[in-house]
Amino acid sequence: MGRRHDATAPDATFDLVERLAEPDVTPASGTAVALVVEVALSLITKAASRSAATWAGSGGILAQADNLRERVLRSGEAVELSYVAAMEALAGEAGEGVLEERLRSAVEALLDLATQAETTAELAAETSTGCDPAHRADATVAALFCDAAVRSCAHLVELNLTTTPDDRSTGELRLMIESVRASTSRALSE
Amino acid sequence: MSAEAEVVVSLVARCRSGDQDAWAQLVRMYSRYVFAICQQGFRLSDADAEDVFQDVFVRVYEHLNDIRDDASMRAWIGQVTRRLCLDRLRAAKRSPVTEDEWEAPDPDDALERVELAMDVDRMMAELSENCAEILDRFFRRDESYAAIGNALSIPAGTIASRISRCLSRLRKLLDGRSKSTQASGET
Repeated sequence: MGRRHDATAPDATFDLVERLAEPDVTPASGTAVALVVEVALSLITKAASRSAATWAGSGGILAQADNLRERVLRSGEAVELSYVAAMEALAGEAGEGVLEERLRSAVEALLDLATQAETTAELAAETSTGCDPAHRADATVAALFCDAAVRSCAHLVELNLTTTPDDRSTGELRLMIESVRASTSRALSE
Repeated sequence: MSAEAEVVVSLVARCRSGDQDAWAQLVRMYSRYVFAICQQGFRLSDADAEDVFQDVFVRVYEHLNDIRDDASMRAWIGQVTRRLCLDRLRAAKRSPVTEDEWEAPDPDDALERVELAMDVDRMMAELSENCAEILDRFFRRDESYAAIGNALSIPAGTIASRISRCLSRLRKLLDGRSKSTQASGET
């Protein structure tokens, strides 16, 4: 493992990557998915800002990426918190009704994260279409990351739903997977 | 109370009883939020963001017993962070500028941002109804492209480009206002 950071280290992203390897309950895969979407947004930002001289639409992409980054940050926090709460309930520290409610919260948090990833994939496709071809690869990789993020959320939701079957969530996720796949294909075809 | 709020309340209670693991977890939980405000919201340098980060959590620790609503910890930490960021910007303005600090942000930036936000509000009313609604749904209500597309019967795949075009129109309106303000001699 690389260099160690203490809990108050300023390099929060590096710190998060290191903490993912720790044996603690969190951060876990849900938080990692949020980080992947943040990385995708950084790649979109890079492609758009490097295309600013030749692409009038780059400013709008940057503004949307900024807004989405804030949403993903919030969503990642909610995923982590709801996962901790669900794990506590599963460990027997809460009653049956509470367990169901907490699993439902975990599913909602993951659905929200998947929604942000789906929107980010579409922004990546739009960037891939309009940006300087020299920087297109960054936008395309961003779309591919989002594809993985949505599918990962779907997998995590499936695990959470083993005790609370719910067609609405799985149906929503199926649509999101199709949508993000279309965005990724669009980015790849440019 | 949401499951998330329950976790925070439980963590704060453990922090009050001196549980260092709980404190470390609380700091980790909000660290990225605090840095996002410092660096993305106020454009502080890494060094200044680090200082603000330390100050924020010193204050949180010192005032753990004064918090009235533990569940609203996030909002409170956000408020403390924004206040300390503004203090940092003001302090940077008062101190003699050294070569290393020449990029220190103007302390009036925050006020300018508020004024700009008010201008944007006014200019939104001058945009076409469709543009205003799309921008409002994306930037204020945090809706996804899919949700906006469904609500307005527009293909989701066209929303990102529509937002960009609407932002360009808004920018032109704001630039026009700025020029007319300068011409009329307003400050």
